[in-house]
Amino acid sequence: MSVTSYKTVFRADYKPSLGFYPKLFPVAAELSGYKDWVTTGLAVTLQNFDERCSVSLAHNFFVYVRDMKRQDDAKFDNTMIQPVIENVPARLGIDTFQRLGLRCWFLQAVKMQFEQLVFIVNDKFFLQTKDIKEGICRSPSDAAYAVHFNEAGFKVRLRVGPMKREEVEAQFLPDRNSNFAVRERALPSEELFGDIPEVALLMDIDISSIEIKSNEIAKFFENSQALQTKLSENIVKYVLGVPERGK
Amino acid sequence: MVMPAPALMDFPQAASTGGKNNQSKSDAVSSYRISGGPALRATIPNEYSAEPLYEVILLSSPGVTGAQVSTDLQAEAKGGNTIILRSGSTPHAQKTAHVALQELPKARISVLFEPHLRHASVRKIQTLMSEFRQAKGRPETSTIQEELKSTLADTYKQAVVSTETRTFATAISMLQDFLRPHWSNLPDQQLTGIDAKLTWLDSQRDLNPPVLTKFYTDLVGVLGSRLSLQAPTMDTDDDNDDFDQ
Repeated sequence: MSVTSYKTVFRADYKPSLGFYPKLFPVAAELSGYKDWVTTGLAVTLQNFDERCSVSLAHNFFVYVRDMKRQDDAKFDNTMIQPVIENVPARLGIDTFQRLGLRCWFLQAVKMQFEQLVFIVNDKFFLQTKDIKEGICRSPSDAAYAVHFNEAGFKVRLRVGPMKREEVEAQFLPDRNSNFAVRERALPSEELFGDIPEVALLMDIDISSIEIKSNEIAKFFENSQALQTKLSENIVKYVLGVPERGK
Repeated sequence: MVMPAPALMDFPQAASTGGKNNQSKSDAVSSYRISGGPALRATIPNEYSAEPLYEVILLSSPGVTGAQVSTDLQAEAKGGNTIILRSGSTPHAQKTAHVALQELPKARISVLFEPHLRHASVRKIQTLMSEFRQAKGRPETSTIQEELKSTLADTYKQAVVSTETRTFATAISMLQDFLRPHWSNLPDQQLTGIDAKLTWLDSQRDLNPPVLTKFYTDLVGVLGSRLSLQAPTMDTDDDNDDFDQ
């Protein structure tokens, strides 16, 4: 079982050094799989509009983004991120990362109304005490479970909640300039994101760590991705799981 | 989903100064675009000239992996379009003892609403029945009994509005009707029996007519009576009267 992911951001922050600038374009030119690029002269973004993904290199961070492109497993992101983490830190001479973050947005489509999914999320994640029902909120019209916690040395920021297709722009913040082909950028949301489920359970999981040695970036990526997978699957099982027959 | 506190993340279109321990930024330089790639795919420089490149609001703060790449955190933050509840770095995770999250056991996933409503409702009714059993003979008995009646009525109302959940409404209606003559005397044995039948009902994949029929006969077995087609004469409970249809 794997949950469909619609967006991934993998970002590495590091202390800037003047030695970055002469290396910027040679390092960027070595990354394949991106037909287009845009630069300010001080930073560059490599773009693959077919897959709606990009890699940006800047003096104090690099970031990979896959934006609103459905993937049913982690293979595609692995293929695109591995060359970046294998080459960029070494070529830029980065010794330590101030922060590494892997954030993924997952959607589990459901065949029910938004209000019904709100009921389920509210039932699964929130206390239903008499005081809450009578004194605070009788019946929520929307809900989100948002927590921060530490797990296996990572800091995890988790948001889970029901989502309507109309909320796509607000929840995913798609970066049209960097990741969408020119002809698509001005399209209305309902046309551009028509393949997004009408109602879905959204899981937005941000896993990060600070002060990481550069030779540990691959391990960070592997472990944080495994945690992303485990969390998203557990959440779907917990929220949408029902008792087995005969039990 | 309700939105969390949005914030911003910086993107170095500003000239930067840096050193071993220095990470300050000077004012942003005016942005310009140079584009490349195959002719047909190239970004057209003037198309979005009114919008500075990358100047977008995103869900991020220095402690968050942002959803977009943005120009200038400070400028955006001052713009009034965002609320940063906790700006600045957040304390890093304590290196606590490593207890890995467990993988939850396999579960049957249902993307339909009915099984979830059924499960939540059965759980709630069972909790109240358990409280009712413990409260028997004490002053709070009638309060819990009323709460149970009210929960059954609310569950019926919630289930009956949608075609998908209407069969569950029928099951709840049956339970209400069966319980009505027994409220004054519900022995533990009967409560336990009802509890077991509700668990069975919850575990069914679909609530089809054979399942409802079995639920009915099981309730007959537990409560020892059949549904009466006559309207109740003694019960004055308004909520329940609504469901004698």
